[in-house]
Amino acid sequence: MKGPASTLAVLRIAFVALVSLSLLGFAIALGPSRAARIAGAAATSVLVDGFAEEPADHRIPVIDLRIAQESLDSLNADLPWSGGANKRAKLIEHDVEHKVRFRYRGLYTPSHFLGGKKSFRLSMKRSNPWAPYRKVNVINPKAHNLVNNHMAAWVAGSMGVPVPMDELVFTRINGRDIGVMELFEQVDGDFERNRHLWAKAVPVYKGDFPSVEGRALPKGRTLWADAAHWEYSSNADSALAHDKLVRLVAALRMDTMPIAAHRDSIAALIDVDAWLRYEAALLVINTTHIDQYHNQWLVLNPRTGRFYPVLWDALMLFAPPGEPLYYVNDAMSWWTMRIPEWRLQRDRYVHAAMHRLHRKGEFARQLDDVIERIRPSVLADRNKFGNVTLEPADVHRVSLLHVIGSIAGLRSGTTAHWEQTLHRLERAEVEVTRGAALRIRTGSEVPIRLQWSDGPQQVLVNGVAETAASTANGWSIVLHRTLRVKDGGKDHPLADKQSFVVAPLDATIDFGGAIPASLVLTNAVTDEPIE
Amino acid sequence: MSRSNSRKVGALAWLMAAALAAAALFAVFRFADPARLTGEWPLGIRSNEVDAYASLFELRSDSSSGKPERYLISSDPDGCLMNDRGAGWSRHWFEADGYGDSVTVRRLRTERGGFVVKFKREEPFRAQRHIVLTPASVHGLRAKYLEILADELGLITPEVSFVRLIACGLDQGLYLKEERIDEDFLEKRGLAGAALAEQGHTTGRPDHLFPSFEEDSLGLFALTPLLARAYTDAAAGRADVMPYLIDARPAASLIVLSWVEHGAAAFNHEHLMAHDWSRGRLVPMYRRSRAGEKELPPAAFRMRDALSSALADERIRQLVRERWLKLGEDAWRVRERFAAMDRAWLPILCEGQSLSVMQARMQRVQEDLIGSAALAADPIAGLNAALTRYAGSASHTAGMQAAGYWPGTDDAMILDGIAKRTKAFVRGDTLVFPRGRYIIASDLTIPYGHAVVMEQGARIEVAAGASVMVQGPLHVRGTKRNPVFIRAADERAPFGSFAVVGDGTIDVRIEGLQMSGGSEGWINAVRASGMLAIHGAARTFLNDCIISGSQGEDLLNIKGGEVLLRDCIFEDGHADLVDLDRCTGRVDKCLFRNTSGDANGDGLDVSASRILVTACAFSRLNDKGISVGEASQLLVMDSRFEGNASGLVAKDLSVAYASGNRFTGNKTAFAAYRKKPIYGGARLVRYANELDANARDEHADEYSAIVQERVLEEKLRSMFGLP
Repeated sequence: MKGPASTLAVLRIAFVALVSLSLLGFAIALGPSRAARIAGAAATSVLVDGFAEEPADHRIPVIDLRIAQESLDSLNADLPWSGGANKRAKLIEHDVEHKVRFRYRGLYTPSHFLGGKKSFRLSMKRSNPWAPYRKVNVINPKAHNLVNNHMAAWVAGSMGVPVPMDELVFTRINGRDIGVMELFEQVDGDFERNRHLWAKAVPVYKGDFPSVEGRALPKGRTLWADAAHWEYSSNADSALAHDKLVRLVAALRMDTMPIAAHRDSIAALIDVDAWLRYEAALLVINTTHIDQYHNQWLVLNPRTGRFYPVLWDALMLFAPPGEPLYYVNDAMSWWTMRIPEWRLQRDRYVHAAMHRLHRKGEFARQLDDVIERIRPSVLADRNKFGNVTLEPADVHRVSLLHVIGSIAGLRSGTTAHWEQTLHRLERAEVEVTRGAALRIRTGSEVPIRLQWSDGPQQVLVNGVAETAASTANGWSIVLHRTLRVKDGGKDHPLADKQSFVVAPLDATIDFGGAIPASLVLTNAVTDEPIE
Repeated sequence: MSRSNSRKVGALAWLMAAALAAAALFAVFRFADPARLTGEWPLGIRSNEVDAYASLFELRSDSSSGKPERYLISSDPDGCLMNDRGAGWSRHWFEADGYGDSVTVRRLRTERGGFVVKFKREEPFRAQRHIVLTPASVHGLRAKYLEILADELGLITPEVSFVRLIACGLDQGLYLKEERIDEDFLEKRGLAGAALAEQGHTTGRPDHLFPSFEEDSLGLFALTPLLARAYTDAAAGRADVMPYLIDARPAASLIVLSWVEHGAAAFNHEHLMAHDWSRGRLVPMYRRSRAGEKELPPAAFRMRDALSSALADERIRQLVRERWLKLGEDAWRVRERFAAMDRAWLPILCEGQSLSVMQARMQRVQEDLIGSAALAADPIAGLNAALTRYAGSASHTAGMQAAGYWPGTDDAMILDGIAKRTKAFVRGDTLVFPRGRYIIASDLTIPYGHAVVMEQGARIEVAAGASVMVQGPLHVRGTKRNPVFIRAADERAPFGSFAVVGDGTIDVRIEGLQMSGGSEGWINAVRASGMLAIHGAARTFLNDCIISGSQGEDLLNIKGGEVLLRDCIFEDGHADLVDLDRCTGRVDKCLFRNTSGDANGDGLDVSASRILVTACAFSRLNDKGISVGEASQLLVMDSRFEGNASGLVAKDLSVAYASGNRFTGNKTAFAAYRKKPIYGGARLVRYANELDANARDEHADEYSAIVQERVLEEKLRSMFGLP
């Protein structure tokens, strides 16, 4: 019969026309590339995720929240400005209703407040399902780097860097699945108490953008320019801590004092070992998301009276690949690079961590573990959101394929970064000329250690007297490398996004006689002998 | 259109088909072996569907016959317990056999549908301050099996039973009941004052770096730095440190039980421990995992903590192997105990379900726990994992002052160093203080197992706040005429404690010691409450000693072992003079007195002990001459009690016997009462005693009794070692 067939054909044509018009409209409005990406994401979301029926039980914690609809409405009314008011909510765990306060968080990044998976903060009573933690952030991890921040915390924590508690969770609000999110501890005065290290609150400073007032995003402040740019985030008495912070900021100021004076002043106020681990972690994670303006925390260790940093919002692989070995995140970072023995220790931490994480496979094992745990929840998550284009406003539903792609990207990205960095830290191609004195030349980037047992302790390095350090097997000196600012850069602790490059080494070492027969050259970072 | 030739299926055919299906099901569930029914079914048939059919068709079993105890919780009309989903406490009325009082109840935060019931401190429920109730099914019997296994392995664990809960006027069904582990629970198990802690094992969790103590400050102060140092040493290859921080036997037992319960995922769960301050050891305990906890595959990495590190210690591994072997050998007997539990509880727990099918199902549970296949596995191999200290550990431990000590290859050097510092000398493995003056300027820990000898004429002066810990035999060889002195270096500032901490095998023999000017101390995560503290000695003998003038809790505190105190004077303590905990032995011809007015303590305080006191004198004590508590037994004979607040007091399930004593000028000569509500009342038996000018001869509370007897029986005499 002709009637129904022609009707069907008309409907089909109309449908195709509608889709084409819609694509055309979006292509005109957003540009063809963005429209195509969004359409692709939508299609894969529907087609691919639809196959994931009845996923297994969640293996990650489930955050089950109940909030009055009018409270949610008022928070949603004028985002991002309306989201900051705390509302009463209930966190359900094992059928028990825990009273909590709920608010949205994340004004600066649209992925936090656009879409259906909005980042929020919970403030809880002392006895709560996440005890000892009382304040936690639950953020949209975005499908394109679902586990990056979580893994960054794990990696840095494994390097001995203080990190917030960080867990991937599955969130439900008012019985509706919101999906996989990242829950992490809000750093505050309880940081040490939460780790069963100290019984009371400790002083904590937050280095971040200023609080929002009105409807404008405030400009960032250069944190190390003034102690007042740091926000106190603790109930502990701040008098002593503030004095130390003021002194630390002063110690980071460039002046005519010798570098050793700065080094000693900084070392009296900050836990240098903790800081060097932190600096090392920034390179291992390859992030520049921690900078002169934000994502910094300082906790005053009550046992040492010195500050230590907390890694925050590091976003693994945030930096483009192939960054210089000595990127300057902030003023502390600038001084760390300026002090050769600190820089060397940082590099040693970097090498040890990359060796363990990459060559020994720890990172892959942990990542496999994380994937295994989140798999059912990711399959159940029909609310995956992420930036599908580079435009911040494009927060759209994406699919399982994006998650798989992001994790594969994390694997390949870390492998590439670590291989490259390990290669740079392990490469020690040295040209040695033996004459009356020893001449060492290299274009590699690492410092060179000289060790001998049958010569004098005092030597001349490029004509300058240097006393070798005593070791179990004799004497040792390190030929540290000279750093210079990359072309066009500013060599100042408060300058933005600077990096140092390593100048070639050409050193002459005069032992005051014959070159010791026992002389051994090693890569000072890896301790590998140099042939 | 063609007409269909198919016949119409009539009602009879439908009926026949249904009857045939029913008959087949009946036959299967009536005649099939229940063990087969409880196995794996194909086509996605679930066990609850099988159970439903079994209860419908199965006619051969007995119907449920047992009756559990009923707990009634009644509430205000608008405050029904079952409707309250809040996390806080609310007040209700609780009734059980022989008990009825108002209680506070809250939802259990770690298991769906459970409750915690808190009883008043002064009116505990059958000596329990808290109980936990969780909805029970037949599978709750697994918790009972695990309790039996914990008992077999010698672990401290709460008893599990099943009760019927009536709440809000309705039968809420069966609940699993267990005592909550709290400080009262610990005290009843000989861990009075121990600090309760949980330990998780997840490498990414900063809160799992150290044990989470209920009272953080105590653990932080004494234990956390020590643990931090131990973990550093362990990471550097010292795998033998842990037995000095964690009680090896319960640690091994807990590892075995966790393996039985969770297999390779044993460390996915938090574990409970109590830190025993008197020994400086963590004591692992068993608490069943909450129902519904997800059993995840073991994590790639495990936190290096006290329990996980224990598994790396060869001595503890050996204990694990031994316990595992023993469990295998005793499995038949354990199954008998399981069977007894099945007989007692299954008829109650079945509640309308097929008893034989449920029996078969529980047989499977038993097989999973200690069946031959389960026992063939190797827990040590199965629990092997990479131990790490991640989550920022390396930075967090900066600045921790860890003055801890554990035996090592440098012990001889340490001993030589001590000798050099104090001017004592080393003879063999013994540190000897001959006649002379010795200054101990700071905390001093004598290496493990090394004896200390003090010869007559030795005078030890200990600096303010400093303590001495001996971890081997102690021999003080003074005489009445030529004593050994231990004094404060600064008379105005007391030293801490002179403590001996043994492993239950050492001897302490102290003669002719004159000691004063101390208080109490913390050293090596051990709290010594006595100026002279002796913990964990097999035998302690004090003769011709004068111990006086302490500013701490006790002048002398002995924990554990046999004691003999003879011809000693104990005087002028800040609180108690002599405190004997968990001891057996005798106090003979000793004088307990208070010459200063402000001291407020007992002369002899006996807890969980059996002590004979003969020919002693107790005078002018502002509290009790003798205090007998915590289920102790004491016989006091031929002694004098003069001018004390109380002469002889029996408390808390203790029994005191008094014969041939003289009580003069005391406010109360005899008293018996319940002091700690988790214990019961006491009993005091009076034989022939002389009482003179006491304000009150005797006083007993409603829980206790003081009785008069004529003759000290032979049996009683022999119980206290008298001829």
